[in-house]
Amino acid sequence: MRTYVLRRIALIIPTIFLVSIVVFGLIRAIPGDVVTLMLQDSKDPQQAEQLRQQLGLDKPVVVQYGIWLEHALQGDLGTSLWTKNSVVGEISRALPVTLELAIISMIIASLLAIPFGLISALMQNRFPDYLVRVISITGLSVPNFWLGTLLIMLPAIWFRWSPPTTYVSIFADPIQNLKQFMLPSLSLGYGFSAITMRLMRSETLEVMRQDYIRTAQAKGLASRALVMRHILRNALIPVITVMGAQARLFLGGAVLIEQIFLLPGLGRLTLWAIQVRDYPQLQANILIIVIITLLLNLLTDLSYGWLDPRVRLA
Amino acid sequence: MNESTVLNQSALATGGSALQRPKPSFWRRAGTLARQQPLGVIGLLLVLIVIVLALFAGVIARYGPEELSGIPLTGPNSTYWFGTDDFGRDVFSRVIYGGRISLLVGFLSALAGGATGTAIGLISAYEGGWLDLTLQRLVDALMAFPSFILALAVVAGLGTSERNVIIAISITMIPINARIARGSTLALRNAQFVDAAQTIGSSGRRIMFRHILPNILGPLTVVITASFGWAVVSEAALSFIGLGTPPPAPSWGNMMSGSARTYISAAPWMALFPGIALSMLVFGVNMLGDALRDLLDPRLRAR
Repeated sequence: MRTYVLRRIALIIPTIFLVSIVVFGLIRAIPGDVVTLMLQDSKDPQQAEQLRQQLGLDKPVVVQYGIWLEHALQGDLGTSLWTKNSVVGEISRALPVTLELAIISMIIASLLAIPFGLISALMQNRFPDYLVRVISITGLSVPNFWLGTLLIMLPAIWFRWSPPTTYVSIFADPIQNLKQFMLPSLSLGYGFSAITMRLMRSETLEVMRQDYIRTAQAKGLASRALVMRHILRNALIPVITVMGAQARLFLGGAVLIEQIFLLPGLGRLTLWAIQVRDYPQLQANILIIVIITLLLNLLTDLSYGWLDPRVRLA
Repeated sequence: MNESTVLNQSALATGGSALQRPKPSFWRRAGTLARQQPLGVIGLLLVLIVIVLALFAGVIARYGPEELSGIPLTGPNSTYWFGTDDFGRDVFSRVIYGGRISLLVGFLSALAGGATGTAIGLISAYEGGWLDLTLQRLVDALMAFPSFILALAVVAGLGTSERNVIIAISITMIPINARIARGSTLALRNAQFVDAAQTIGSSGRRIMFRHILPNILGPLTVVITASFGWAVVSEAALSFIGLGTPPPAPSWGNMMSGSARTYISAAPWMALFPGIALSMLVFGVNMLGDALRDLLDPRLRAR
């Protein structure tokens, strides 16, 4: 087990290295550089040159990369070209927002997916099953950013209510904070629940066909205990794994949803960095997002071995 | 189908009589298929509706997509079925013209991403060795990005235009296609027909593209169909945040953002209809994809 984890971590490092090169090269290709954007009014070439030198943008890209890598290995990902704050600081301010969004959406997704998927399978081909299948297919088809737009629009029209737009930390005012996170989390959570609901349904159907379920029934186990102890536990294993894999989708969706609901999270920070061409901020954000994804993939794989003793990680 | 052909032949041989069973007509076969895959057929119809509306947008739409045709922010009525936007443009016309962009981006990116990914996977698995190792690390690196973040980074790098959106989205599709193609090729690499082709001296390229490729097209079609849906959503999402199709060109994504969100309570139809169109197309593609998976790749069949 320990060797497995170590080997996986060892494999992550070259991937991160490769990703950093891709990101660095890609961002340097942005047409219309930051300098022209920063000096919107003045067209003085000398001033532009000076600023470029100041920002270290006059050196060849390879040299820029070398300098960046040296600092990055010491935990310094650079300074934002615009706010002049350390990009790590900006990220650490944004990350809790995205994390909270992720946790609440995942809770919503599980609360929808697991019971509905289970009911759907237990009542296969009856009305509740069809209903759940329609709900999940709709969730797969409705894009989260449109759902988010609708979720802002409908309460505004019906109840003249819109979610608060100034961010309050959960520690400062939990009620206000949850009011703000409810709708964005629902927009993301519904989409995630769709995939999980389908999987939950098919896994439950699969488990119900197993011999040990028939044995449990034969020995006269009450159906409640049968469902909770035998069916649910076994069906959940792959479901949890897939929910881990959805983190990849989550970070992409967060960009859109945070923008719609004006949440100052990692996604919004990334989009802002693209719009103002803040290279250090953007490449740090993408790098952090990739590292989070890779670690989540690893955790997902590990959880699989932990939840299902039949799986041996080697 | 084979069975009936055999029966037909034997019927001919015996002079044709009691054993004769006519080959089912196209409509009959379509009917059977519709009973087996009702959702798939609904999906296909939805996709076809969008395709027809988009193709004949010039005939169907009463106004041009950028034409200032009426009073701004008029609600849906008999002239402006989906209402007008803040410039007085007909939302219905813009929605069906917008379908062109969605379909074009979806189709081209699914095709380009699918072809590139397949080629990488195929060559990687067939050649093996260090080439395989290098290509797989590259695919791993691409796979490490959440897809939408990768598309975002590529568009940020290349600049926003329709062409760059297609490039960005197709790059996000390379890893999954490469994985599937590589896996399927590895399974066939030592098949007898590959050995036979090698024995008669066929070149590697010929074996890969003439012998192996046709045999792995089933699972790839399934993936490519699914990626079409993903491409349509990504284009809309990129346009939504202002990094996709630039206005005033109508794209479902950019129609839902900007002024549509400013006037969201005064003119909800501006954001509503493009979203319905988008959801309908994605729903159609998803259903079609599920049906195709059942038909083409029994190994992946949903239980």
